[in-house]
Amino acid sequence: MCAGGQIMTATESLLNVSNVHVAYPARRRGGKSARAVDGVDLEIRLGEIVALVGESGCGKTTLARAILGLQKISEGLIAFDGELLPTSANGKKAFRRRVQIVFQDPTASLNPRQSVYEIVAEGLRIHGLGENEHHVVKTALEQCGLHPAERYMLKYPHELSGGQRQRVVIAGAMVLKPQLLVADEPVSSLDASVRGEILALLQRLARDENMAVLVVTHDLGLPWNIADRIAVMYLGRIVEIGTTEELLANPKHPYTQALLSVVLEHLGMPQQILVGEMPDPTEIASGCRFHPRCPLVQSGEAQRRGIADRCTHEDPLLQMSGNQQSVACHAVGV
Amino acid sequence: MSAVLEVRDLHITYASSSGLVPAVRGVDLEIAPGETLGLAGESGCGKSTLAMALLRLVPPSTQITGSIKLAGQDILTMKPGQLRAARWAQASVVFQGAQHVLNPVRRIGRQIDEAIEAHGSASVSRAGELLDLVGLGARRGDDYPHELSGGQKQRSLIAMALACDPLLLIADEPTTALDVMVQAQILQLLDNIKRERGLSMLFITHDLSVLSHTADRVAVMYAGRIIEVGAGDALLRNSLHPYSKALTASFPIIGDPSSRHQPRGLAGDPPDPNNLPSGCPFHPRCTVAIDECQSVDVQLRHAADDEERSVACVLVGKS
Repeated sequence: MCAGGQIMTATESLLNVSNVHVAYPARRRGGKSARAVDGVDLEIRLGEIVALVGESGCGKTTLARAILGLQKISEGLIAFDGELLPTSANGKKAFRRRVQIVFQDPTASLNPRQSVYEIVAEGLRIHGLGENEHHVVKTALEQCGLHPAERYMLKYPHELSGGQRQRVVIAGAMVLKPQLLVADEPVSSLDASVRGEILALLQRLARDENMAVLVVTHDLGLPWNIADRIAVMYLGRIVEIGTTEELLANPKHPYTQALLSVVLEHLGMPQQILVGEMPDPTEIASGCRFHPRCPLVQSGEAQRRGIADRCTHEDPLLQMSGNQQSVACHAVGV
Repeated sequence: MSAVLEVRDLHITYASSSGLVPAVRGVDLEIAPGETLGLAGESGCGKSTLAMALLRLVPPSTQITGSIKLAGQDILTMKPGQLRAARWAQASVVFQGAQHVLNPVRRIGRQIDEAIEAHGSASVSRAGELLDLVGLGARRGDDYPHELSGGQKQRSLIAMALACDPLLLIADEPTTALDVMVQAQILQLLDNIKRERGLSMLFITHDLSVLSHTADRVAVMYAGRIIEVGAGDALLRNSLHPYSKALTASFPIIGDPSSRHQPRGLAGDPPDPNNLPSGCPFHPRCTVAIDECQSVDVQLRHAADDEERSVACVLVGKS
């Protein structure tokens, strides 16, 4: 884990996010700014798959955009491969070859007037890697499960199924041999039967190419399928992080517990349905940001354990609890 | 007690620029009073077409044959006036994508009252009462749609669907665009309303995991037909048709070691309705297909070891 402000340069570390804040300015004068990302530490190691899990409005997409250098951060540091994110045009261009993105909706991310070949070759041309272009494009398409590649190269996006389109998007990223792939809800617009195929592809690519993947999702089943570690985000902050096995077998934050209970109800677990919805990031509660919806606070359990006062007044920090698990909750260990 | 909805040999064919498209190809189903039937399938399988046809909400050029009996009356032979009375009062629809269904320049309460005025007979506003019922609170009736979150909009659509006390609620992907927690809230709400009012429900979804909580019985559709139907839990736990098996396996069970690092899907794509494969339409994607599957199109038939189960697959025993 990355301790406040200090950038680790361990050999296996690829990306370090340290105390990052993203605040969107208030729409009106005198209004409050929206603290979309509100102090996040996150490390991604070479070749690992990390799932960033949370509901809409929790800041997960904003954080992913900040990591890609697409969103200005208002505070904190982001380092990739030991160096701060570049600010010069040349530096940015080089960085963008090493970090690629896959969006949710492949139909929206593909240019309808470009053939599959042109789409996949575009990145190579932009980065001046055009040598042996045909071979590289063919290899990437086949690596992404579109073989024989010749059958797809001259097609246009509308001639492909949703799953095939997402494979083309991924091939377009893979030709540049990125070290980090950021995938924002890569399967949520796809049909169930296609979902597993695309996840299997991402997992295989990460292993074969030693590529790290940050997958942003609202679905806790996805990390069980492919992720090495999970970070759970609530209202701009990571509230729990750990290995997939540890975190899903033994979630410690009441928010993670509730999220898991609603997807596991078919196993006969009692459902813990939270009341209300994720608050507006202009109105983050004092103390623990989850306390207004926290079942421990609402049931009086926090009071019984003598922590209710801390829950409403003291912002909990992520603290190690278990092997590689960290939790931001006053109730953990009390 | 007789079925609230009884569909027999329903065929629905769209007229499109590329010719006639058979979207639904011979569907039988029935829903008993107070029962929830889950209708599952992927995009293009015909499930939404089927749902819309139940109230004849399809383009006029669409050919529909067979019968759709709602509370004993055939929807397909009704005169326009009768149909108007049946819509909303006997069966109502909660559409998917609540964002796009509500009129953005009308207050929520007013939109609910409009539904009552168009189809029912109440002279006083019931919007407040209905908004209370769905947990939004009567005061939100004064809000415009943009002032509500996705979950709140979906709640107001449910309030609208309940406005004329229907017998049957058709819910077409009611939770698809929502977050998991809000989805759980809406499912719980639908379940409570169903119990309190003895409603029947047709719950259409591509997400089988939603049905484990909601449906008494589940029907799985593929290429315009129901290929497996049975008691909800039994079907989801032990599907018999190779397609339903692949579909249930694609939703991982968290904690189950067999799905850890093993995402499972189904190779290939759903068939083009204009160009269906011979024999069983699933055979090109089926991993256990035998020679017979290329020529024999098996109808839904009882599975040997489960009375309530019917499956359309040569490999699943005859009764």
